[in-house]
Amino acid sequence: MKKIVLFFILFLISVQAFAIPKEIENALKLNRINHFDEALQVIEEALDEGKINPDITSAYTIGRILYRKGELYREMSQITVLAQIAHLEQIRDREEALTDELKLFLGIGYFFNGQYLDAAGILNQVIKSRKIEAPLRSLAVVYLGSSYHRTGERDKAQEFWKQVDQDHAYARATLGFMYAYLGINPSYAEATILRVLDDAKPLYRNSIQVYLAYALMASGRFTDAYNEIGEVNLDKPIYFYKPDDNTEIRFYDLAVLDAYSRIIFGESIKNLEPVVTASSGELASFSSYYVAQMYLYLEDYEKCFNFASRAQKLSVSSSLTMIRAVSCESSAYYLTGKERRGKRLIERETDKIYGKPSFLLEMMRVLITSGVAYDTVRDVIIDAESYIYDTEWDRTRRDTALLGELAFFSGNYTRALYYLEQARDKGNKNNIETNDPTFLLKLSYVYYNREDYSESLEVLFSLGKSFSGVRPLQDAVQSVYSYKQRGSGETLIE
Amino acid sequence: MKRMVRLLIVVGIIAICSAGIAVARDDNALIYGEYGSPTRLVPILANDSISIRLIELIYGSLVFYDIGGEIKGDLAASWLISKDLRTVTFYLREDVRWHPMPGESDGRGFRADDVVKTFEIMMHPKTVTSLQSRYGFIDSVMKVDSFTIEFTLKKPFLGALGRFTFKILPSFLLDEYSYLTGDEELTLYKHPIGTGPYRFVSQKGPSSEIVLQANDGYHLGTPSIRKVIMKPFADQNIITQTLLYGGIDLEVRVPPRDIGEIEGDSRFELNPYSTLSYSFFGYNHRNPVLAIREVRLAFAYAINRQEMLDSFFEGKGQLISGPVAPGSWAYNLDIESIPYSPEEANRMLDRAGFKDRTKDGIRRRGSYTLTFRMVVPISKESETTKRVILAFQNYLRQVGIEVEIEWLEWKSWTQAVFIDHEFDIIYADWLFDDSFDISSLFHSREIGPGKNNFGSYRNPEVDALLDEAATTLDIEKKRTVYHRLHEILAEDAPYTYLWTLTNYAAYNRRVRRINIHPTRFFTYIKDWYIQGED
Repeated sequence: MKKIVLFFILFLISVQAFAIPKEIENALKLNRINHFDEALQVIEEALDEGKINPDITSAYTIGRILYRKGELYREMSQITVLAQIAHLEQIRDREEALTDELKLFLGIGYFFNGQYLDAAGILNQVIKSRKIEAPLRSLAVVYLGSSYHRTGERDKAQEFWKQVDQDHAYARATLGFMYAYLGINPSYAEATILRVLDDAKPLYRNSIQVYLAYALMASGRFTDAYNEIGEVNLDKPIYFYKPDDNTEIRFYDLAVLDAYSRIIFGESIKNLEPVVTASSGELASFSSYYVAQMYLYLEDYEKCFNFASRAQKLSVSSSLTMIRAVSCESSAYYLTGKERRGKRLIERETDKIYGKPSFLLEMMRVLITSGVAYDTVRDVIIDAESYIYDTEWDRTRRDTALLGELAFFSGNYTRALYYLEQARDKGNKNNIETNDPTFLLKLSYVYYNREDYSESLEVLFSLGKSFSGVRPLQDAVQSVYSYKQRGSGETLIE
Repeated sequence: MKRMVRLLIVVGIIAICSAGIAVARDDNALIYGEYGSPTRLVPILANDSISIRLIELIYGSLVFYDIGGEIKGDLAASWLISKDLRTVTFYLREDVRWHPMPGESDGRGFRADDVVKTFEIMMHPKTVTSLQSRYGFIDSVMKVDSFTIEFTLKKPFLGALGRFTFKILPSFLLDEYSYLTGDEELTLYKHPIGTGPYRFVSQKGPSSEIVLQANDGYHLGTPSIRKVIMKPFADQNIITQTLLYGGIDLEVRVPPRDIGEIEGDSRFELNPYSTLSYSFFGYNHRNPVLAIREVRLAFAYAINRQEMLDSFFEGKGQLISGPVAPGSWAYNLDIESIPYSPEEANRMLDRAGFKDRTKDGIRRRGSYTLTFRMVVPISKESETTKRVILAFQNYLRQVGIEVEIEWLEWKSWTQAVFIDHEFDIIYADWLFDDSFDISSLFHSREIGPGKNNFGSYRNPEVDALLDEAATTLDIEKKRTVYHRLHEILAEDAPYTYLWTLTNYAAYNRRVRRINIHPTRFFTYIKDWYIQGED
């Protein structure tokens, strides 16, 4: 009897010791149904009110939620850029010419899509034009210089940047931002942006606020950066193109979503890094991998290698974290031009997880979301696909979604749609509580690519109700759709 | 207990059906379920989706959109658009034959006269149709020879070629007529004759199943499925159950709450389609009280649409803010949906002068009492619809408005709404194709029998914008104009805009290679096939 009582007391103590605070549980519940902001708010309020302590559990929870939110905005940013390019190229193909304003925004789209030569080509045309308004010309000069900087012509970049008109606050702020974005001088970026912040027109305030936050993040001041973006409206256009009274095309700052996602990653890193150093358990291994992955997104490859290596040391062999960390390291090799090394690493790990298609899919997911080009990893992807498609296993919904993502990356949109639709919760098909928003975003883009625009827009409509920043994408898809609409004006009653 | 009763009904229906369809099953038949019977299988006169789906199987058009969105020839072999974009010449196929008349074994040849006759009847001012607004851009049609026809346009029109998808009627059955009202004694009304992939075989009564047989001489290739049977259901609640128990192969529109049940069954596939639709309460502006904007707005404020959507459709849909579906290029994302606010509804009614109350609590102004007649088709008599309408009544009673419900057969309902205009309020859905043309719904030119502006809504600014959208060649302008229209029509509230629902068709996996057209549904049926039993 005594033993039973003792056991019971010890049990109660252990429950007490390892119990997760109610607030953390609530936050995790909200995170599971993809209510990121509400989840963060619950923890932050609990911390402020002293209901929970700032320890590794709370830090890990915050970091993990921010990581997921950052991934959503990273995806959103990339898709928005592609949709804006498609929209403007469509106008160009139809009209056989673009106005200078439209050329400018197409050039900016090319820049953010990594098409630096295309960007330079079209922006050169813009700056030579006398028809465009001076502030927009200055903006073109900033992006032209930035394109040259990316292609390695740094002197040329500087020459153009010197031409940026000091009277145009937004162009100057953008130049400041580029100093941080291109990794030239974040302190100079911060100083430049601060100088123009008060003079900027309300139309540009949001963008400049994000620019400032980005500069702070690039200097390693993650929390300051994150605090700057608290009130930012990601759905605000920066330019209304009105060729006549009854026509309007809205343009958004494509830098904003990309910068926003990176700032969120910064804050996530700030929370997760201490978990790595303060612990050696599971949370530390998970955190190491997430931090490595985010440094990869932030293009800080040295830190990425460092944390990927730690994650591998802290993980059990062939565990999910291990294979993700290996894939992350491999991606970093690919992105830094060491393709053979990257390939060798991923192939070695693939051999170890033979017979585990779900793990292989997780591994591929890390690779394909890292930013590597399809052509670079084609062999690896084809090998993985042929193994996965030849294997029969009880797929989870996540497995099916990953199959869709893999097909999407390979450009096989029919197959992608098949798997993504299989993975969708059909009863609540656009519901973010039962469908991961990043998954929905991808599904929307697959529908867009298959020219099923109404399905694409329906998904975005739903996402737009829960997350800011969807509007630029909605506008671009609507524009493309209006060009591609096919129908005979049918209207039926039911 | 309710489930048990429903189950017994379904089992009964299947037992009755199975005796009749055993032969059809052997014949490679597709049986699909509808929530009602078609109003009329006459392309020009029908504007309801049940009829249009069957018409798509029976009739042909000059051109159609293929799965990839490209315009392809159906009855037209080729076409030529003049350089000034004012003339479209169609060269017709010479191998097309009409389905045989009852009692005949061969069909007659399809000719240019059929196209001319169809177009002339369609555009005749006395024809009861909602299609004229779609073809107002055409100035004239001329037969060049038996297989060549020329359309002259009033001026260049955006996407003109895609409009030539209207269905063609046989002129040899319409010789005596220059217009159609639906009241004529025509063979065509009882036994449709078309050029489509399926020919009409039988319909024993107005509410009976319709049997179609594959057209072996179909000019685009004989369809693989030999027989199509449309089975109307008086009660929407049992269609899904009938699908699950094998009584039908396909359900054209699954009620949102049944989606989960089908999703969990590996025998069936769910296919999303026609996202361009929305539900609404529509008002008859001929009633002077409903012509008052404040009264209509009061309706919108008085009802809690989110609660209705969550309670009756399990939240499987989206609230909308205007006469456009969120999946459309035309949706104005800046417009917010009217919030639920009984206080604001009361303020609106006060402002409109309806301050006094009767003993029953109904508001009135002078001799006018806020009592309205709502007509609802019996085919919509599903539990969900009943709940929506009951909730609508209850919400309105809270602010002093009484609504009396009258259930009508689908045909009587369309007669009351579109022809006689004898109603105050309706609850219905509009379904659109990609072009999302709302001109027939709100243009004052579209007021009259058989036209879609059933509520007689008039607004000169809306008319002007609809005309501008219809005539511009600039797509960005058209989109901007539609955004403005959304804004005005949200403020003016000719309807109370409700929601767009999650739409899925469900089918047995033995039906293969299914592609569904968003509005006409069966456009690509030629390629469908039924996997035989192994």
